[in-house]
Amino acid sequence: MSNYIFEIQTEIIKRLPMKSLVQFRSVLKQWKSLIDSSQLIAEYQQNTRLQQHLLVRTDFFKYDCVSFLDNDTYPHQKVSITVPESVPNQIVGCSQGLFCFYDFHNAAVIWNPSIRKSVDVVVPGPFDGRFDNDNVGFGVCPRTLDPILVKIPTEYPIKNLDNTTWVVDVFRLSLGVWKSLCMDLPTWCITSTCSQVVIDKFIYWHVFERMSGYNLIISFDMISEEFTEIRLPDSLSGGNDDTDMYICKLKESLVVLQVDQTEFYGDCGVWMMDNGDPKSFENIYSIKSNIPDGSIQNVLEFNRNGEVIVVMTNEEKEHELFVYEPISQHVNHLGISAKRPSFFVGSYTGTLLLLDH
Amino acid sequence: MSSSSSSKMIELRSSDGETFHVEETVVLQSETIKQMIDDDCANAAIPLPNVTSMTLAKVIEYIKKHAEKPKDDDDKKVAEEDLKKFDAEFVKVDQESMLFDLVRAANYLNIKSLLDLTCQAVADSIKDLSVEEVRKKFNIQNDFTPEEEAKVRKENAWAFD
Repeated sequence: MSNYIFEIQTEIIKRLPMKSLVQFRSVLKQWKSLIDSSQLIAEYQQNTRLQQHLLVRTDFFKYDCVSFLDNDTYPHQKVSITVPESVPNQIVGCSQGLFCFYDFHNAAVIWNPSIRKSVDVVVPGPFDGRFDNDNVGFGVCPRTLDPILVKIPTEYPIKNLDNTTWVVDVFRLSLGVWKSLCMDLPTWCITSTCSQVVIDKFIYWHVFERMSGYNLIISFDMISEEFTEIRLPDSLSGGNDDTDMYICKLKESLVVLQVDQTEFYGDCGVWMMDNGDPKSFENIYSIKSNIPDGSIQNVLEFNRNGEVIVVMTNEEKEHELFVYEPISQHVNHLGISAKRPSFFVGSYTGTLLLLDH
Repeated sequence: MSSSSSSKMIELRSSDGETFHVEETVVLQSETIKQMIDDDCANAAIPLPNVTSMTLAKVIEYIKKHAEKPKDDDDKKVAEEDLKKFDAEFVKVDQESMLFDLVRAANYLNIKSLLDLTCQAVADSIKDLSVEEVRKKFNIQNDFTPEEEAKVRKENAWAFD
């Protein structure tokens, strides 16, 4: 086939939706090479027509998920997706349309729900089968589109007080190896269940100040491999046991959710950081646990429009997912319920990443 | 280019020998023709051996419409809407071969917005076709063995449900 004709076909292929693209790999060998090329995959990532989805998993032990199309049709267009059976229970996080699973054993799995493809990653750790308490973070570098895992020690790592070196292990999928970063002992520490969020080139974690136990946020720059501390305003940094906090992403901004623990299901304050500036943390609104339609038990995720996915209990005493509109405080059924309240909801963008892997 | 060039007319000749006169400012949307003008090769009629008169007439209709300048900001919004409507109608051609001809012409003349528009229209028209139908449409001879093809399909079995 002449290059001229293929050049034109390339222009057309680049503009196909994801499902057609994946099907048309079998049209011609040249088409397959083009669709599998890292160049097309990277170009596709910039495609403004890529769709937002919400992945809902009702239970850590269930492989069947539902993916909602998060556009004007939401929540009426959905498909079932099955998580590969090899995946560990815990979902670490989501970045650039990829999810990462890890459960403190020696394996992590990176999964692309859009093309149903996963890659296993061996995580170094205690090799005698014991649980590894270290925190594993996950992100995809926006510049190289390389999936990255970051393993951070959770325990006070020094046996010998003269030794203040501290080791973080970083894995890049393109290299396929773990690399140790040595640094001075930080003033913060992390727990194995700390929440993480990825925005642009940063992975953020909620951590604790080592001495005072106050809340802090740290960021890891996936390009420069540097950690930076983000101080929270006094009303969030805490030192008080009456609130619980975790971090989330709302329209590409970092938000801190502060849940009142004085009641069984407390109100949830939503604090947003503007433009990566820690001084800008502002309480944008609060989600009252008692609303006319019932009581909100848990706040899970934000959709594309900034509506909130929450858990409520229905008349059959089942736990059910609702979409909460923060201004009107109205809720709508998402049509998903479960006996146990262990939902996972993750917002993601369709991607072709891992297609060439 | 000097400002007086706005009224200068450029002559284009299609593959079947028909000539078209278009204002230079309009025709500059084609990177290919712009290059020829910059290189001073546009003193006589510019021959376009890959574009038929029928296709060229359509291309000129497109670039003329896209060269219209809104007078003020209010007008700009209206003009944008109008242009969107024009684009949507423009790719609704009776014969599919015309759409492919336009893609080829946009590619040859290097008019990015027209290439975007026409390629997206082709992509939209083939996205729900089967692999066999796509081969037929592009006149492609399958070069996979049946075993190879089955293997590739199996890698993404979900997409064929």
